[in-house]
Amino acid sequence: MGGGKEPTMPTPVSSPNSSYYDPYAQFTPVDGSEPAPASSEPAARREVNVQPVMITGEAGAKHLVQRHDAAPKLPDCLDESAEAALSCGKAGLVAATGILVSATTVVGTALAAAATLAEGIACGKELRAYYECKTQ
Amino acid sequence: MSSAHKSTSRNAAIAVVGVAGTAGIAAGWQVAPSGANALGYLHAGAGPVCFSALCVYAVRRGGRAARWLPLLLLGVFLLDIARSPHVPILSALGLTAAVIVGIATLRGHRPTTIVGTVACCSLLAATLIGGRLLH
Repeated sequence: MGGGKEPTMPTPVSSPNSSYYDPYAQFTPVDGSEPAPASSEPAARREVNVQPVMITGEAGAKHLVQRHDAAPKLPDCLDESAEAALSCGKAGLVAATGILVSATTVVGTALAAAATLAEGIACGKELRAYYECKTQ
Repeated sequence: MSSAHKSTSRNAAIAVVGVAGTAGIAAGWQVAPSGANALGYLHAGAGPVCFSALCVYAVRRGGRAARWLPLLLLGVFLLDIARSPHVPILSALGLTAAVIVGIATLRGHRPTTIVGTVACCSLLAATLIGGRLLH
């Protein structure tokens, strides 16, 4: 180049932490002057190439599973509901049968009422068990 | 007409049975937390006895629909032993009695129906109470 003074390449600045980016440390002016702040000199804008990074793992799914496990579990009360349905259905069957078959007499009415009362007690007990299971 | 066979209106019978059922549900609801075991024994004994008395009365009184009431005995027996502890040998005897009652009902043999109904309901009460005692 005509014997002119060759511009020297700036001394690269290395950082022990490769993932750390310091815009002042990596830019050194050729003339040795103090580096100006990046915000005051648009020409100092540089391109930084970042190596492709692949993020693996299922942190989101794990988080959802942990939240699901930690959430309070609601009781299904299937046994209690089945027991209550059977007991109350039987009480209704006894009441209807008693009325249809023999309830047009005093004795028939009394027997049907007694049978219904006995089945109603079981129905009430199972309904209470179902209610307590649902509200616990 | 004796006082036992005095007729009542259908609406009065429905009202009485409805009140009895509501009272039973209320009693079971109130007593269940402290006396669930006692209620279980009461239901195991009183339920079959009342149903047996209802069946016997219906068969003795006769009528177009009443004579078929003991046919429900097998279903009631199976329903009770399916959801309660029971004694298998007593349950087998009771189911046999229920089948005999069904056959006697279909054939129109009233004495066998009545005796079989009483025996079946007694065995049902015995197997339910025995099951509760053993478990």
